[in-house]
Amino acid sequence: MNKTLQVRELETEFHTPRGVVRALHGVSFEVQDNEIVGIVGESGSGKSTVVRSITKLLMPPGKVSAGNVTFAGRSLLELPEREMRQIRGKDIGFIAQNPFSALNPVTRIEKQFANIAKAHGVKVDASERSRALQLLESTGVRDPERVMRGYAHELSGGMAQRVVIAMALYLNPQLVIADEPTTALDLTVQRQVLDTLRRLTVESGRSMLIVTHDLGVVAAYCNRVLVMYHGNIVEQGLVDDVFVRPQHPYTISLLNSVVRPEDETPYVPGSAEAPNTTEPETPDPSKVQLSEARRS
Amino acid sequence: MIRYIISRLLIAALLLCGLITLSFGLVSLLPGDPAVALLGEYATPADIARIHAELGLDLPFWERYLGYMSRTLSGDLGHSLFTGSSVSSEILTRLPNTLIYLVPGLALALIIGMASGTFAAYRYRRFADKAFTFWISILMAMPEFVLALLLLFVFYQQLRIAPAPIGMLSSAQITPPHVTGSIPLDAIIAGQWGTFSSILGRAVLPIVTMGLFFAAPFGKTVRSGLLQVLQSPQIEFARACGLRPAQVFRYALSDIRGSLMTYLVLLFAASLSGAAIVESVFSWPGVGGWSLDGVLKGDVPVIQGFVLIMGSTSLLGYVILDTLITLLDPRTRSKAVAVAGRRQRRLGATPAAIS
Repeated sequence: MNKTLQVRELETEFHTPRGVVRALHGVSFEVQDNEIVGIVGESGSGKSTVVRSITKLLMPPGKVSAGNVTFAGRSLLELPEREMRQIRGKDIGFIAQNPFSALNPVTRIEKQFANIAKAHGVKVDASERSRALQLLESTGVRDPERVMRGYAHELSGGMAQRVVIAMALYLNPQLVIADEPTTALDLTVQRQVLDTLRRLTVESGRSMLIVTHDLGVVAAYCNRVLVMYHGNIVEQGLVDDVFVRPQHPYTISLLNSVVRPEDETPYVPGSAEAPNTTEPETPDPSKVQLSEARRS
Repeated sequence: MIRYIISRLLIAALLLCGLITLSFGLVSLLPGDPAVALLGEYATPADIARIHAELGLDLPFWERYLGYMSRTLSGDLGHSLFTGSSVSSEILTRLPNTLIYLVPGLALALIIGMASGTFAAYRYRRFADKAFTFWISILMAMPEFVLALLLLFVFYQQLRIAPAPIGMLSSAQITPPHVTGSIPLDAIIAGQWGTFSSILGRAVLPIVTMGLFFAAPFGKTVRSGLLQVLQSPQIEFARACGLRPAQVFRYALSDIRGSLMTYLVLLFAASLSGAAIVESVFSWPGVGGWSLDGVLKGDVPVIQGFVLIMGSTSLLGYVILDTLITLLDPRTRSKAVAVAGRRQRRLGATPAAIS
């Protein structure tokens, strides 16, 4: 199997006035052709930083300080912004968390599709427009013609997210990166959107990297999973292996944190809040233990 | 949509009545008796009573109020206590003189502020941004008369490329025949292009003063607004779609254009009152210097006239602004149209579209 994306020893830092905060401590993983890889972990564990480092969407003060990202034979971290821009949207599609804050509120959907096409040198004509319409239809948008002519605020959350998905897939990217694509949606809509995503990615020969904190999503949709904790990948492997025989204490705790009735949940010491240089007691992931006191 | 605009205008008319009431109240708020101000310390009671009768100050409150209201609404703003000239005709003559440098000045501020603010945001924390922030803080700390004097020093005294600050017309120019009373307008009507271009030439320094003075706060607003928006998920998604940097900036600007327009109207209102100082420096025969004179002398009708003209100009600005903002944003536009009676069917509102 070929590797679509290969990430090696990725390190990302945030240069704050109070010192350098290390957000990623050498993250390595890969996404192969036709597979869905999930990244799970608690808030602040570095999931979103990983995808922003890969796509170079990190805003200052964030900075990738070391590592290697290879995508389709190209080393992304060495590419100048001009070439990186051409990869974004065309070779790597990005699906945002909240469609309403991602879509431009004052521009017609139609125009937003056209802007994406123009940005990648694709001529905007009737056939391009009908391609966008078909794409909208295949993401499950009802009455795509009307949606195309309208604005984002006229849509429901699920419909808006489908529009975002259609935009991310518009220019046929090989890899789709989805940052918590269903967090902002109703539970009932989440599944429909995820089904659509799966249908339009792996089943159409693409790969997808999906960030989520929903273990159910990972179990149902992903082939492989990366478990992140404090800027490290503490465990990765096939979903079936990791979820059935978790090796790392954090994974065990994460799996145990799925709410079951009459359970007292164990937890791992240390918090994800404010990792900083002055506080060396950030737990070493290899030595994390479940807290004895509350182990059930 | 037309009904929406009419409703805005009705509110503005109400506010205008409030403004007239306020300007009427000024007379009673101001310390001292206008008759005493006019006649001096040693006026006899008989003289004072005569002036009171002349000014209508002996009438009961309501009669005075209604009389003032109806006179103002019909365009009669009274006469200056000192020169006896009609306030309305003074304003009509002088307002174009003020607008001839104020509007280009603000346009200049818009262009400079927009360009430099955008550029600084684009080069955030790099050299250009730091240079911008440095110059902005210097400009912001500088009162407009200092700026005007500095410009005069450089361009008039040192480089000798700007005309002397002695008003709008030099004595060498022929005053155009009286038609409207406003010299620039009369010059256009009479076809005296030499006179008109000389006026424009003399307006350059006031325009630059206004432009630089208001470019500073405007540019700062553009920069900080853009910086905030550039961190937003909307811009991140635009970048993630690979949009060109120029396009990304257009998206960001369209997001903050409402607040920028509001700020511009605020600056316009502020610039009207700031005009007095610039006009004093350049001996410009506009409304600013004239009203400053009126304020210093306690010339009540002049002050009232200035308050009214400033207030109603700002009111007009806000009505236009409000309408523009509402109509430019599709989110409020559909609502405004719906409020105005036309029912807009929204996609999200139909039960079938939920999911």
